[in-house]
Amino acid sequence: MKPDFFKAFQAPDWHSPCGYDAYGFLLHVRILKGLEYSLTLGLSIAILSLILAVCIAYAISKMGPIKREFFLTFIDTIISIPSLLIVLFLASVVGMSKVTAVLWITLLICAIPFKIRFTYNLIQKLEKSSLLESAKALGYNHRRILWKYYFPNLKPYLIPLLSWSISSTILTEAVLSFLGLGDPLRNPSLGKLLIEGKWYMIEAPHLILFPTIALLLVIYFFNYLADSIKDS
Amino acid sequence: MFKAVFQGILQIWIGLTIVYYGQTLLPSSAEELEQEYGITHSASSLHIDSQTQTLPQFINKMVHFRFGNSLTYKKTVLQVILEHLPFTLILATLSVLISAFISIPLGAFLAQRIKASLIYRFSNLVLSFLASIPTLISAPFFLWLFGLKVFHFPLSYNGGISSYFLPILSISVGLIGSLTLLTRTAFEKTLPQNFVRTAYAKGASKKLVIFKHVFANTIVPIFSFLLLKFSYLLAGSLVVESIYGWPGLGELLSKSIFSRDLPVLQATVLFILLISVFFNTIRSFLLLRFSHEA
Repeated sequence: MKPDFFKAFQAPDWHSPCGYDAYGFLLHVRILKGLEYSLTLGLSIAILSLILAVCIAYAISKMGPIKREFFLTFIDTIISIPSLLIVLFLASVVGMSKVTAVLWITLLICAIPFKIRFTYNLIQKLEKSSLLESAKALGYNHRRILWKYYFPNLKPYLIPLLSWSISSTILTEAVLSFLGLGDPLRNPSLGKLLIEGKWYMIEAPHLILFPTIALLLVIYFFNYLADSIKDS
Repeated sequence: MFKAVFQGILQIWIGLTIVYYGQTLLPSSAEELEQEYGITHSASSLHIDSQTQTLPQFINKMVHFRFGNSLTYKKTVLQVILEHLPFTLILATLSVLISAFISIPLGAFLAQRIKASLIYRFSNLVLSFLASIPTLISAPFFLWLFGLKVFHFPLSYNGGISSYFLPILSISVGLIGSLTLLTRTAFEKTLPQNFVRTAYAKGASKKLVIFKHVFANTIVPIFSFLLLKFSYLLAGSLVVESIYGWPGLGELLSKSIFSRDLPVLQATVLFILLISVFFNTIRSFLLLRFSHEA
């Protein structure tokens, strides 16, 4: 895509449904690229953190009582530290050259503790149920219980969690980009488009309008998905 | 009781450790600095100074509030923070209080409607939409709408009461959505219970039942949510503060990030952490004391 500098700030018309941005790029192309980046980030971090969290929660549920209490206290402690603060601090301190990897890792680490607690509570509830007791009484081995009893019963709770986690990751990334701490490469994320549009709010309101709508729709979509899966 | 305090101390310790090891990620040796910024050793002695101390020394300094001097403001870091702290506290308190005053009665009202009624379904749609609006979107939107198009409220803090309007509105919109939904769910859980029926049966008026019996049983989750939101807002109002130029801790945080003012950055992170730990501890005390389950 080549920028056409003479068309910068041009309002939307038939050939450019979202108009042109400050550099003369077509805005809808940049929004789509930003969506691609944000969705890739959100999906991969949500899925990775969920897998890790389920493994850790299962491991914790198999521990002895003292060890388990120790780990649970530790996790509860981390949950109530505001994670945005930690991500912000690390992203600002590390410097712009290495920020991409650190950003992804920190987002991943901050997404895990809550999921561990959530999954652990589900596993506790499941282990008290008669379903698992009967499976154990029938003498099924660990693997069969894990695949046939644990996962099918955890799935309806974990998928809304996943969907909710995608939207919150996208939002955290947008906040970081908005503050100028996001990915320093030329990938346009939704937050970066928002802050670019903010400077021209009076002269060219479409620059901030369309990224805002895109971000709002994505977040609302994943929240709505989580709610409707949870209710059904 | 003991566990809550222990958790609070553990939280501060973890936060301090992250802050300490976070700053070691900064380019420290002279070669790295030259590679990264192209500056010589003498110009960077400010940063290197902070890395020669060990973790216990660092924690000792932070716990006694000895943050040193700011690199950009010509004051000590503690002075800078104490100047900015009241604004964040005022903003968080006012927005939490205002949204509580709007959404608790609204949620209580909606819980008594029939689920198939038009107002219930419509409010459900609107509220779940409001709840998913982040401040990142509401703040520029209200800036544009009420700051530039109609009413012309002040766009940044000017000392007057009218400049409180836009930041509080931007924070409250999302909060009202989620808090109303929470209140509605809590009331819906409580209303069909037996003690409510007993209260009606002994002849209590509807007002008395709702205010005394039902409300007393839903106040725990609502209050816990409010405290949680309050401690979240201390760091989360950062976007709103930087958009409206509100001179609070969030604004200080984003300014110190850009000016690379490490002492101020460290101290701000620590202060926000301290306050949120304080409110978290209060919250877990209350939950232990009043919750039926715990």
